[in-house]
Amino acid sequence: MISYVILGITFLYAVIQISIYASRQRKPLTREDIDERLLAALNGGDPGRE
Amino acid sequence: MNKKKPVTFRPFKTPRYAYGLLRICKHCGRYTALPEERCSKCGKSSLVPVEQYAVSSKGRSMHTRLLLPLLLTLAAVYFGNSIRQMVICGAGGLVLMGLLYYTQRKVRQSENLHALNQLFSRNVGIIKEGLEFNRQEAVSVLRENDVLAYEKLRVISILLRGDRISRQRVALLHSFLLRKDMDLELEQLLLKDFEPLLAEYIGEIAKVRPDLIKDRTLRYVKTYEVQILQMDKGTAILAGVAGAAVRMKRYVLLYSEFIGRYTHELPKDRFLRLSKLIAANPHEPWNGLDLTVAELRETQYRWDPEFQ
Repeated sequence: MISYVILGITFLYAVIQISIYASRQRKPLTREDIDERLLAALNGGDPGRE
Repeated sequence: MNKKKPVTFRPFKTPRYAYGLLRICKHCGRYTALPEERCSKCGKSSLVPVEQYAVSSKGRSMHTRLLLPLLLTLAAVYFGNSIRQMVICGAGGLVLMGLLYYTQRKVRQSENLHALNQLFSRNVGIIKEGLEFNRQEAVSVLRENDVLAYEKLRVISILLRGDRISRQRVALLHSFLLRKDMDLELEQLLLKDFEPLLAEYIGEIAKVRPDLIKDRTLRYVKTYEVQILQMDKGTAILAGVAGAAVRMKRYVLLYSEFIGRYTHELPKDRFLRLSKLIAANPHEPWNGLDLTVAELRETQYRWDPEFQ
């Protein structure tokens, strides 16, 4: 029984990880975005934290 | 007496993305934009480009995330009551790990960018500190090697924008003899307020690289026209800028009043260009510039065959 519980936990862990990756894929970052955010943060603008 | 000294700058290619200049020390975490071999804080040669650093740390984090299902699978197999249970748990765990690994491979590119963004978001303060240290380093070599100081400031200014660095760069450029073949800048050096050294620099740029005189420079010159006129060679600077603006019809239309005030100071070739431009576009709203040019042509160049 314990082994099935552990397998269930593994399943949940994998599902959560895959969902996190999928949600980030839905709003992808571009290099231009990163560059703009960095320059804004360094020069007094909004750092634009995710 | 001309105190300006002839110099040669090392070629410098501006990267497509400003962060491409940044490197991080793997040992102490100091950021630098300067192309030094060793970290200026810890002295170790462990500087790597930030993108490479973010990619490798993302890779490590992904491997760690794969390690947990592996351990859980092994535990599930270990606690299995029968061979059947062990096989089911082992196979199930492997399938889940495979799925996670496949997803990780599919999203690797976007995850790398995400890691880079996170790295910057978390370390803005440290990056600023590193760049400020770079700036101080550039200023410290100013007396011994002003060209090197300028080159360093030029690199730092891509990431750190603002009047302080621009002012230091303008002051250094003021001591150099400018040539057409030099890697010169102008728009990046414009300040918020009036600076006589910058006005002089603009005047020199108008002579050696008129193509660098663009909208922002013309607006700057127009804003501080009175102050520039009070300078020793103020009129010459403004006439030079007006002459540079004549190269494009758009600038002549936008700054017709400004150009009109210095038409009589324009060299012959610039005046000829302006005259031809107006003659080719008689229906444009020249705002009185066409009349000024016609009058000057009559009085100064009436017998000149080039104006016939």
